[in-house]
Amino acid sequence: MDLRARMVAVAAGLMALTACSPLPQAALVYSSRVSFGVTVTSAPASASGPTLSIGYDQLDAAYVPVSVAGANKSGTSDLALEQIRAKYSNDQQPQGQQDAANLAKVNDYLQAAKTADATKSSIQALSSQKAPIDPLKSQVAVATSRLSQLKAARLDTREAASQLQDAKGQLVTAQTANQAIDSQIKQLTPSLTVAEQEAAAKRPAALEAAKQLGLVREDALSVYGRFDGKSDAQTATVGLAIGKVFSTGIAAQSLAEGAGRAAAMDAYTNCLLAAKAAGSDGQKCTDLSAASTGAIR
Amino acid sequence: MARALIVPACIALAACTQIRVVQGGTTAVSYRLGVLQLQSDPDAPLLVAETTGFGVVPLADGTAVGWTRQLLITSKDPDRCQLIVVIRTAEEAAAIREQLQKGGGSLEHVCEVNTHQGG
Repeated sequence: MDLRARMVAVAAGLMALTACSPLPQAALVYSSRVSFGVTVTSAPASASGPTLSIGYDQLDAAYVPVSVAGANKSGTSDLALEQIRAKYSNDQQPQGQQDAANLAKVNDYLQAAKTADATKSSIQALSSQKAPIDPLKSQVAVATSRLSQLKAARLDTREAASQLQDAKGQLVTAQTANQAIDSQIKQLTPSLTVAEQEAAAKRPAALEAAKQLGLVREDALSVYGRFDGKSDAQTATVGLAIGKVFSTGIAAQSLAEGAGRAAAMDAYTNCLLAAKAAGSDGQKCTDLSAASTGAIR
Repeated sequence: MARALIVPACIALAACTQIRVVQGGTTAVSYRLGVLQLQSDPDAPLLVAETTGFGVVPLADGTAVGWTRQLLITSKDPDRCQLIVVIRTAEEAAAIREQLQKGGGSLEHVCEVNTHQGG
């Protein structure tokens, strides 16, 4: 076999092997390296192949697998790509249970708000049924005046007396009906107060639950690392981000959001202290804090 | 001729390499002379290896001649370690946990690696 035939055979063999090779089941790899001298590397992230570095060289990297080859569900021998994802939420329960619990909180609040609205509507409907008393009082006053005039003129007062009697009867009837309505309203008012308080008490949990329903975080696997070696107790504050920090995926999201909230809380505390020193009640601080929390969300 | 010179030169340059392997909460430190090849345990769910060496130092993705320090962490089990937190002190670990919780993150499936004390 001459050289050309051997090369063709080798190429064909390599192509056949390539076709059969499965996708690598890559692990999550985190690497931090510092070198002085000559370094030859072939980092997976480098598309240009091996790298030669002379002198100082530093690499901080995380190689995060985003998919893995798995068995094909259709039953064929072909490998199927499956995404590797990490799901995070602030609850230790499985996601399905979390959703159900959050949904229950939202529905609970909606039911309480509906009850409060229904009670309020009933009270408004009863109030609208109350008869106007003032026109009837005016009618009684007119009839009384006319009867007095007729009596002074020594005229026949029977018709005027009858009209006065009718007017008084209408007024008493209306007042009795209104008293009955007032009594019903009085009975409903405590229920309305309770329903509104219940709804108000359930609202924060429902709002949080509604946010959680929309906060199912999903991202690639992630790594967080610090490299500068300056570690002290000060890292427990917002200053955690000071220094050389490496963060990927959901860790970056959560840590950035956590730092933002911590900063907002510090600002709120400082605002309250300033308001207290100035003799204010700090309501503006609360409003700003609420706005800032909403912005972070 | 050149190949015959390279091999003794490499062996001579590989004066000393310190390897610190952290696995399952225990740390093992060893010193080796000569040209080394590092092979991680393919079945280890979480493996931390810190290599410091002078001379010819083996790297996970190559080789260095000179002074090198490399920290390598591999996780084969994505269900167990969805987030790997590399920290240096217990205070820093507590701060990270607090920040994650403030940010709405979960502490489930989080693996902490303390590079000073072991995993």
